[in-house]
Amino acid sequence: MDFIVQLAIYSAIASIAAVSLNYVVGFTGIMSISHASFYGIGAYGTALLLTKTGLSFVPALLLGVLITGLVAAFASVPILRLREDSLMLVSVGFALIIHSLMLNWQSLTNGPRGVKSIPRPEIFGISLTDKNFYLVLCLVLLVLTIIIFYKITKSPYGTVIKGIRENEEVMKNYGYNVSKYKHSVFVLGAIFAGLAGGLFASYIQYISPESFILLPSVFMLIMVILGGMGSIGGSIIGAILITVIPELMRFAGLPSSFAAESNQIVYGIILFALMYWRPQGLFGKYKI
Amino acid sequence: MLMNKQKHILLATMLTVVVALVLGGCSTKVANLSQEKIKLGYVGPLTGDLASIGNDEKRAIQLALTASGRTDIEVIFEDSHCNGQAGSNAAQKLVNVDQVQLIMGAGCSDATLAMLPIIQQGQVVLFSSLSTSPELTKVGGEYFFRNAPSDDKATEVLAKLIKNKKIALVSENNDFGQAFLNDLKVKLAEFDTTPVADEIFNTGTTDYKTILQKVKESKAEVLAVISNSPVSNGLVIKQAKELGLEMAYYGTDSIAGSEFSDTAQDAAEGVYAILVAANTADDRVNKLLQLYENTYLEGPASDAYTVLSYDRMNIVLKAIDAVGYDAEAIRNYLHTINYDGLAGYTSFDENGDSSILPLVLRFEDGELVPVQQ
Amino acid sequence: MFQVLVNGIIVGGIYALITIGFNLIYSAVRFYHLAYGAVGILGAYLTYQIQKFIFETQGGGLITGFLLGLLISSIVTGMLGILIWKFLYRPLRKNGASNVSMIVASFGLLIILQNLIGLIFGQSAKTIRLSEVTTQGYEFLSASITKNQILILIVTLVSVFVFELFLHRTKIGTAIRAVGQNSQLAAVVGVKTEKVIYITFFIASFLSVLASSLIALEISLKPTYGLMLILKVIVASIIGGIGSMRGALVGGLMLGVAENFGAYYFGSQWQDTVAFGLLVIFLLVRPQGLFKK
Repeated sequence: MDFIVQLAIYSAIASIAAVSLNYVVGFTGIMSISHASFYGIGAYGTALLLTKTGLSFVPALLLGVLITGLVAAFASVPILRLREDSLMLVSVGFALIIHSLMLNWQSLTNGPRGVKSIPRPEIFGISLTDKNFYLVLCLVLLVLTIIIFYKITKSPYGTVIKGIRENEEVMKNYGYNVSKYKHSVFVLGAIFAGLAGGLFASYIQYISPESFILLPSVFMLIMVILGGMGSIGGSIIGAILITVIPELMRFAGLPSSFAAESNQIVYGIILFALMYWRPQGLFGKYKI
Repeated sequence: MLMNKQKHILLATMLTVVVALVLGGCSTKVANLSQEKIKLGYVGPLTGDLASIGNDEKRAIQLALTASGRTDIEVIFEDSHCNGQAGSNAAQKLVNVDQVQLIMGAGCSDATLAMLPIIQQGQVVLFSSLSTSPELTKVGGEYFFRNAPSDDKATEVLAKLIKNKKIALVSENNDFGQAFLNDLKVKLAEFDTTPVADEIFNTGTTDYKTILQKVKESKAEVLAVISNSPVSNGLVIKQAKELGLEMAYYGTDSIAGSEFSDTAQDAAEGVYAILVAANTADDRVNKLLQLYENTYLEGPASDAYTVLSYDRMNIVLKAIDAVGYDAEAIRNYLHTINYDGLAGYTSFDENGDSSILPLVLRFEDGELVPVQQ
Repeated sequence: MFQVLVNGIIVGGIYALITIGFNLIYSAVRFYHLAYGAVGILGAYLTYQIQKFIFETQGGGLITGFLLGLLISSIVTGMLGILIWKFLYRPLRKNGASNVSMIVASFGLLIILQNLIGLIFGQSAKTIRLSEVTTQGYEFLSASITKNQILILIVTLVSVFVFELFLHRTKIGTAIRAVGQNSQLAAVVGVKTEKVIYITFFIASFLSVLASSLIALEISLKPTYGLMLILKVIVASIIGGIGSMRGALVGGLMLGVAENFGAYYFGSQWQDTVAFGLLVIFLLVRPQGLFKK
């Protein structure tokens, strides 16, 4: 049924973002709250290329992802100079600045009016407006994402990163260029967030800065925390739950006079309960 | 990657999700069969920045339904959270699971625009009482109708009123504000009028003093506030008065309602409002507003949108009675209707835009009264 | 020009007032109580409700109602502050939660409080007034400032002074700082750490209601204000130095002034960018802020 297909599409997109965030936050220990900004940059990049230039879907998406990576490379320089709660805060600051740019750089992004009528993909001349095809596309990319991150985490490179998570100083003493590793993790994570964003833009066909303020970053973090830091499967579960639960709540039959607020209260309770009972999340290996 | 115990949790979670979805779908279908009620959908901002207006819309619908005495009609209210993803999910659920033929909504442009592809594909009517962006005329599509008039008309009225004066424009940095602002500037240019001040504020701003300082320095005679937030409108005008600014104030729809009046209080005296509805000279409007207050123990946050939403429910009821509950039939019927509503005579053109024209009202002694033009 | 500076100082005073309590709590427990803004706003809603009750049903005056509401609400919310520590934060701490964990949990609490406010009081803005007439502000040196704004500034300055003395010159204040720096060591030397933290939360939450109610006189009340305020508070406390009373004042003022000058020269739509740009700059260049604790 279309409703389930749509939820599946959003879940798949969220999963790509969550798995990539998990790599940055869960696996490597970089507490970044700016992931949704990269999601947004990818979305805007792809959307603007699709609507303003004659590029077709695949090049637009790839270019959008590339742009996201470049911005992340620049941003990582100041952001990664800090640790823990300072890093969290500076990434929040960065996220809010990016939002402000999306809103006010009107000549580029059309400001609050947003980008309308973003087309669905046309690959090799075949128009993929059908939801089911889009779902397949998203799932394929999701599987690709999972494989890439799985392989990285199991590789010697991944071992170094695990080491950085546990104890940066020790790794430095061993002679590893910790900074370079952290930068590459940050940028790679951002690239996949941008990919998810591009997929989002083409599916929903309208984006505006509203979709990418602070809360989406928080949601992504919740997905990773809920699913479990460091666990790829956990991040996907987290993504699915966070995407689907509010929609399930529509069926709960709560009187509409407080359904909306109750929805949000449930999020707050989940966050709090997680920190108390299971800070490592459902499947996590590391505590936050 | 996953240990046994974790695999079990994973499976259990997925099973729960699937079961919940299926049950959700089933329960709705069972409800359909047993009661045979006509199900209408509503998607609107029940939380978020425009929540007070979304709630007004909802209550207006409920009041209209109660007044009609119909027991065979049920409205399913969904929250759009004022964002595209949630809005599109709400629409998809209503179309697929509840199988509605008509959705009343939406409010925030994000949600409305995200819903358009879904209602077009599902061939379901989308009827908005809150979307005033001129762009919806073009991109709305054949299933989109709105009785809230396009801001195109409001800017026309406003431009004629303030042309050839020194104008300061203060607009909100959202879709409504910027679309209105640009349209207004175009129309003012046709009268050879350029604003002397053009300030933009972000949604949720509470301190306008520096903006007002720039307005003061521009020596403007007229201040037009373009925002759909009653509180923002109220704060601008209150702070302007505290700063001692002497000029004529113009505002848009959100000025009519208790949220603005509570915030601005006596500073609202003399403010003009370009309103799309809530003609206080019409007794029916006053009765509705009184009924709202009696039922909910507070006045509407926005009179205009309450009136429009009320009209909307009645128009929908009329359509269903005339041609039955079918999207195609309703769509064709709406193009022929000329409804005598509380917002005026309502008919729809080929783009689904309504014929309602904005009014000009003014606060005198705490009440909004129509201004003779 | 001068008016812009005055505007900055006025709004900076507002930020500073809330940052004081936030910093006080940080001094004692060393994590960011993000829900603090929402607690204050909740208290302000309570003030509103009591004032409304007294004014509309008991025939009391607006000012009497406000003061009474303020008193009752501050005490009640002060106790709520203690409850939040005792039943929500302390169990987390006992479980060994990291600082990041506490921030996340606090954010969850913020969301819960914000929506509870929306449920109980509705989404429509609530206004608190001291008089039925809006008056023009006083003019001095070509800048305008209202009675209420002057009141806020006075309360802020007095609070900074009082709390600076409190933290550094009284036994309890020293105890608070000791608990913040090393609670185990403090306990060893005989400081009743739990009682100290209770006192801190009570005082800070009490103050937050005072601050929020005064602010509400300016900008009314909406459920979302808790989040809005705490974001500014975080910036102000990073600039000024987290945990420092003087820092709260300076940080708040700097933020307010920077925002207003930014709005004047670049346009108000860039106001948030200025605020968060400052945050980023300070975090990178001087993360301990201007004043050390």
